[in-house]
Amino acid sequence: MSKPGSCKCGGHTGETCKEAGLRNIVMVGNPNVGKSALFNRLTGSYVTVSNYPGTTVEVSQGRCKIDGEEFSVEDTPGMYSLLPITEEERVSRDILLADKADVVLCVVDAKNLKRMLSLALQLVEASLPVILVLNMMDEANRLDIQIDEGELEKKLGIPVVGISALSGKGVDILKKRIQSYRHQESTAEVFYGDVVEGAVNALAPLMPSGVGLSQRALALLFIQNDPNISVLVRSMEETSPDFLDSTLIELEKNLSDPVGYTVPMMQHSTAEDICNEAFNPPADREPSFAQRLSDWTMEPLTGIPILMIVLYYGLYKFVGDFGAGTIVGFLEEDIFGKYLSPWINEMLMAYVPWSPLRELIGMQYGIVTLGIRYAIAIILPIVGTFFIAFSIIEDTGYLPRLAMMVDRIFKKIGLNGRAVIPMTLGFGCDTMATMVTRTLETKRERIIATLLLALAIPCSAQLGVVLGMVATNRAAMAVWAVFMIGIFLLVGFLTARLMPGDRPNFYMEVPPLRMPRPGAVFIKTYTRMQWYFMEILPMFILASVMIWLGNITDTFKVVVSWLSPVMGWIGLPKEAAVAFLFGFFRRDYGAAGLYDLQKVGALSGNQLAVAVITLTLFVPCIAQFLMMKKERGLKMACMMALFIFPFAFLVGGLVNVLLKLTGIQL
Amino acid sequence: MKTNERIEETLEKLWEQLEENTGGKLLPEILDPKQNVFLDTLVEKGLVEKFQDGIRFTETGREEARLAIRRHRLSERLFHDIIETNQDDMEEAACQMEHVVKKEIEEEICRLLGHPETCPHGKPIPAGVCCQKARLSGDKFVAPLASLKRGEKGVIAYIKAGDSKKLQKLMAMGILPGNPITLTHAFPSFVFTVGYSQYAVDRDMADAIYVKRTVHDHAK
Repeated sequence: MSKPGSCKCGGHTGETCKEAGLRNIVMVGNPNVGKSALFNRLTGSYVTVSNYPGTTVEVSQGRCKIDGEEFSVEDTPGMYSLLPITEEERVSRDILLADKADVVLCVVDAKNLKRMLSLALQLVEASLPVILVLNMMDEANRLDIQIDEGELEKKLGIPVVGISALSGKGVDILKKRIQSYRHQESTAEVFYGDVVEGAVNALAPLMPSGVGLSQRALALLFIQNDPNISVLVRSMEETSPDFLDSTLIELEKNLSDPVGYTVPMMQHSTAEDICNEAFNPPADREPSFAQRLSDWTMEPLTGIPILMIVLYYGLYKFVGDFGAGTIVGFLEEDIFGKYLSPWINEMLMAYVPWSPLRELIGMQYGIVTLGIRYAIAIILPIVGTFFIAFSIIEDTGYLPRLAMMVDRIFKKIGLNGRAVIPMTLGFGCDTMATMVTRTLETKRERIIATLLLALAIPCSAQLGVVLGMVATNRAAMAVWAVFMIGIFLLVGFLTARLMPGDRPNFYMEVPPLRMPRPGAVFIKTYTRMQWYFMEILPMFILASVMIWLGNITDTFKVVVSWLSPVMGWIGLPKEAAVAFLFGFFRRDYGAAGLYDLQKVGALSGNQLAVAVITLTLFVPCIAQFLMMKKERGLKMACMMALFIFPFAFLVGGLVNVLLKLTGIQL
Repeated sequence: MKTNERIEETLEKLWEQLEENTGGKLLPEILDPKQNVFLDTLVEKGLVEKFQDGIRFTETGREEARLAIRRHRLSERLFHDIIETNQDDMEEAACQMEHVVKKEIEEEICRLLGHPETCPHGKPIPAGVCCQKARLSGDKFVAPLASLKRGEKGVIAYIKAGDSKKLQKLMAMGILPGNPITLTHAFPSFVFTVGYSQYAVDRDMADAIYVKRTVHDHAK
């Protein structure tokens, strides 16, 4: 695989890192049509491809060489229409608005051409230099769908190329068409009826010129009440607000349906007309096995057992037993425990006379013996196996089905089924998941999801260690699980009540179930692991250094002595304070610290339950906190942390008291 | 309230209790005193009769009650679907309107609403002559997606434009009037197929999509 050459540009502003002189290709299209797969084909770099609508949340940039000429390529988050609904759609639209793209690739799923052509029409109408890319031609062919590309070209007045981004078929032809692209003269236009056309013609000259979209397209967006365009137009000095308002009122009066209905309706019916001759679907066919399996996943009676099987084999057996058990056991006890750590310590004793330096590198809390050991021997296998399992599940397209199953429950906690992606990803890495909360539609949902991730969703490293600790004590495991689920639901429920806002709506495309491709799973796991390691290894080393500093300056002892009474209050041994202190640096780090404590038998059953519950709830790790700050703002991030910190200990104390009062010994 | 209106109201209440709840007979004690006073009038007019220790509709009475309840629920549908008034206004307006609706207008309303089978509260609307005709002639019924049976097919009739955001989302995804639609799951969420795409939505969204049903009439 070639080295990833894409640079991620900040998501919300649509800024570019376009280099002077290069021709610029922008890829747009509906969610889940394979834009990212095509991006990887064109640039030879890698961005995550998945069978889940809306995985791309950031704009990816890369370079593509065609016949010696270099192009810069931008991959954008999926959009259904030029009129944006979600944050990601706005990002994509703003890129088209701001940039003068040399070629715009409108990528559609060939078998769904009928409904996706409407976006292509809108782009054409905006005078963008569009090439229509019919992706997934192989899937369409398998369904016996005939598409007449020549007829489409004639009707639309733009180049049309059928490809399969996954197999690479047709990509060479596409490249040639990109290179030889010349602006087309007579392209398709939608006729919206006299009333709308009248308003558009009156408004178009008043729209800003010289931006990425034509004045006609801007006028269409303006009459559909696009807030950004409205602000843009109204801020222009030469426009009179009275004229704008009177035109809009007049338009509304003369139309029997709302503008927001008429305009997309006409776009779609034009698209349909074009498709009538060029797109020939076959008669109905027998449902395939994949379709039947898909039905089972969405039927509670069969879907819940399927979910249980996925969780048992995917999470418990593969991540828990194999990752956290077998591999951690091997790396931690054999490699580090028997060979590496003793060897390092011996070397240090032999060659490094200055004891603080010895402590920095090795011994109890050194960079190698603590930082690197935790990162490589405990965290890596657990997170790695989790990402493999997650990538396989993601690639099959199971997650939207899960979203459909949990929507009703999620509604109770102020979220909707869509939040299933950040929530399940949180079991892998809460930091990554916090970034992905961006795909949620309302601010309220994003805040609730961020809080729940920080509070009640243990990341895979934490989960692995926690499961490892309670594996021998099933009762403690049950208490932990019940409390975590309870707190997740309760806090979600209360936050949803406390925060005003509309009930979120759930709507989602359900992509077909597909067989996961090993190559894609490998690459996806690899990139996630790479991201994860870039993020955590420095943190682990930093944490080791901080702990070392804390130790030699005695601040560490002071903080531990502050924490010790808290430990006493929730019924834990004093030594647990160290683990919680580690937890400040990384959640999983703290978990790993407790793991050490439990291994030497310092915890009773009740203490074990209290410890794992408190630690799971305990503050987000530094990386997650920084991500919270980036996504939600400093104030919100601090408020959440200030809530979580006492809350974790409060619940810990409560569990302790409850167990004591009821006389239960776990 | 005029006597006729009071009779109609009472017939409706009796319908709910006799035909939709207990069925058959009803003890006079269950009726509240106000209705009880009326009972004599109803008996006098030949709408109900004493039966064992309770009462039951006469043939005429049942028909009168059926039509009254039909007008009431159709009026509710009208205010709910077309005029989009809120719940309280809907009740009040429907209560006034049902008494002034003539037979022809009733059928017109019924046709406009696409011969609905249930009121906004989900209670059945007794079928009128027009409904039966429409059913026989293979005419389509318009109903929200949420009220379709699993596996049922139809054509999207319109998307309720009450909430423009919702409309925008559905239309953007390609869920458009005129397209054939199949409901594949109704619980825990609604899943349906349009073209080659499958979508999952919640009840709120499913209620906004109105579908012309293809009627296979052997069922009823």
